[in-house]
Amino acid sequence: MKTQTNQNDHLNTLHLSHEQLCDHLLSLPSTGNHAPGMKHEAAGLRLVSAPASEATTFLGTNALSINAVEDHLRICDQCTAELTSLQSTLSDFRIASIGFAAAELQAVSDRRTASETTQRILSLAGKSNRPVATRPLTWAIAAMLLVGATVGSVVPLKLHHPALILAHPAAAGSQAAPTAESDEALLEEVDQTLSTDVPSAMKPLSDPLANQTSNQTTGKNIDHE
Amino acid sequence: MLEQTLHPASIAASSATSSASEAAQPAATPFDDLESVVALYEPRVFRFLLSNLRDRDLALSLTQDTFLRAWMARASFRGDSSISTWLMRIALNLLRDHTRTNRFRFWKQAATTAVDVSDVATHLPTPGSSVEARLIASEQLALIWDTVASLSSRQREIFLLRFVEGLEIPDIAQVTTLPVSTVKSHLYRALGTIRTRHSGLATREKE
Repeated sequence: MKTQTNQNDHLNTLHLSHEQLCDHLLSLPSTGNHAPGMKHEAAGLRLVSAPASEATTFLGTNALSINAVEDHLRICDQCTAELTSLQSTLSDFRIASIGFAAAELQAVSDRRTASETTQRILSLAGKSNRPVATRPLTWAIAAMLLVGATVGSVVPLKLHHPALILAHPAAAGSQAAPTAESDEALLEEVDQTLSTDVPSAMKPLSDPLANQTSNQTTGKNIDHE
Repeated sequence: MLEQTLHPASIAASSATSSASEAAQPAATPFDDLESVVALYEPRVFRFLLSNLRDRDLALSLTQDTFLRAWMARASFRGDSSISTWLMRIALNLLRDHTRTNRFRFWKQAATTAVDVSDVATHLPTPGSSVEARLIASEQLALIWDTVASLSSRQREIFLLRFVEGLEIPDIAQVTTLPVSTVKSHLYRALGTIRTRHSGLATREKE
């Protein structure tokens, strides 16, 4: 009893310590300390007049100290004002956070239904439930494809010099045309040579009249003139 | 309400009359009815992740991942904790995994879907209050918003679990897998930081 009196005297003369203030704040019901829109003064009144039974549920804080803190709050305006203001700010923070999150989720929900969400989760679960052994294989195939694509795009440039690759068609283009023409001419010449029964050097011998006929024709032409 | 209907105990009681051949099949879990679980707990999981990440798309993505993980690990849910606590623990683990990566740090800087405090302030409860009162409330919200962002990740998680989600300290200890005393310590420190800045703002407002 004497201890309690001393403690009460101590609390009455000094302000609440941080731990005492926190203990009192935490001992209050956690699911909304006051209704939205309740004025700070009303909240403070309820805070101060909160029954001890409501507060004694807090772990490690006995009813004696809770009662002592409440006694102090009844007589100390400064501590009451600070506690009320802090509690009101925290309550506003809670209400605003809850309202904002609800609005954000509602905006998402407007675009999709709960069953769509569930289906998406289940489909993801189905994908995640695939045998783990297939995953390294998938990665190995992907790695091989990547390496193949990289090698395919890099190696040809390294092995074949671009200048050489470009020079070959140019050179072949400029030299191939005359060669083809000369080859054709040569072949035609050979064909003509082979197709003639008598070589050109032996022609006068093979047809002795041909020269005379030509001469006569030439003579007739001269006579006409 | 639905917590009761989805609790494994109720499922176990209803299936007590099932035959022995049915007993050989995997035990029924609340997550078998995934649609109901998503409908009931998505707002809370999303809210917690959004409060921490402050990025809509990231929060949505991790919310989906939370239910995906829960679905895949549903066989390990024995009902030792509530569905909510179990889901929040999964969400918290995903959050921690995500915040560890460099990718998150990059997106934290460059996120185009990042939440602005002014958007949150539109949900402040200020019916019938004066313009001045609304301005003060907005300023206080911005101060708490910034202060929460400056807290260590562990303090922030615990602070939000308590002061936004309204979890009791033993539940927070269960979600975070920390001792109750450690949870209290983090709350004291987080509140200490907030109280310091809040007092500074109150002093400036009086001046």
